[in-house]
Amino acid sequence: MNRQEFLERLRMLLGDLSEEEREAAVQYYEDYFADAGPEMEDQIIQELGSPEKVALMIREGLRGENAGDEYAETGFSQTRYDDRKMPVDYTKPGEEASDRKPWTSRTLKIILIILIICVGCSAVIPAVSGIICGILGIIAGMFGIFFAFVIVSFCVAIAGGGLVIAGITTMFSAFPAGLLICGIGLLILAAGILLVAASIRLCSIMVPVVFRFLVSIGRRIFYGRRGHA
Amino acid sequence: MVFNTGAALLDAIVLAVVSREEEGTYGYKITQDVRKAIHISESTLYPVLRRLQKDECLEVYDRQYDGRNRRYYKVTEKGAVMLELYRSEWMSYSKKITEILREE
Repeated sequence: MNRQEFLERLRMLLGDLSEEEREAAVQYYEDYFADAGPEMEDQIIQELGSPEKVALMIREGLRGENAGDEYAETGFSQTRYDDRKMPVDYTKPGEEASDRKPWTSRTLKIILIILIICVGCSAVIPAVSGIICGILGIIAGMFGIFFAFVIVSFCVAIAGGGLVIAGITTMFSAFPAGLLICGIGLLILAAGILLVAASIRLCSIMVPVVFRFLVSIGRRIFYGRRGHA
Repeated sequence: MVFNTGAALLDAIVLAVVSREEEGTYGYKITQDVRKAIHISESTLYPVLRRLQKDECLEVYDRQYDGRNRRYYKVTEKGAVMLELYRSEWMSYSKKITEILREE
């Protein structure tokens, strides 16, 4: 068998492959013979073995079946190493042809996981921060109410004080009216001072109660329905 | 040699051999260069080159030489990245094996 016959036979054996595959393979061996030179022709044909063997290897290469094969000193041997460990980002060479899907699905999975995390975060973070802000708001509101009581009482007392002063000044021009205003002012001042004392007392009772209430809610949330502080 | 060459190592050797030529190189020369390191049969390399080409690690182009078209192989960007990976993997692997086989 000479080079021409060899290549013809190979082309024929690869007849059912796509034209692109067939011509690529035949061109490779044409190149190979041409580059080796005519004096090497017999030696190469002998070493290649039969066109059948070459065709078989081309087919196996296309099917990606030689992923685990080994290339021994003596040539080509078909030892499979299925559990060969590959670096993470290395797609097994032989899987390319037939098993591309697992690889893409793996990256797909990673992308999906990232997407889920992103979407989840964008939903969960606002929700959680909303709840926390809401609780803080309620706490601030409760303190605000008590604080408002104290402030209002103070204002009443100050208004009373103001009325007393206004009454005293009015006394110089119209004594009875001034006396009346002064009296009302004193009453209001007294009421205000009483209210201040009462609201401060209320705070001193209610603030710890509110605190205990919040702590018990917190315990229920974090430890289940155990703690009633 | 008593040690066999796995598919990944053969890929690494082929990529390394092809990457040495800036302009790319051709099948016969690749076979000869690979054979300086390991003995492979002449029919072994074509499926490997074809696969590396399909994996986009190698690209081919035809150039006129001696009145005919000769197919040249060139390492792509992806192939270069792959080769770097193989290089570092091999360095650590061979270092460990050497360490273990070293005589005390």
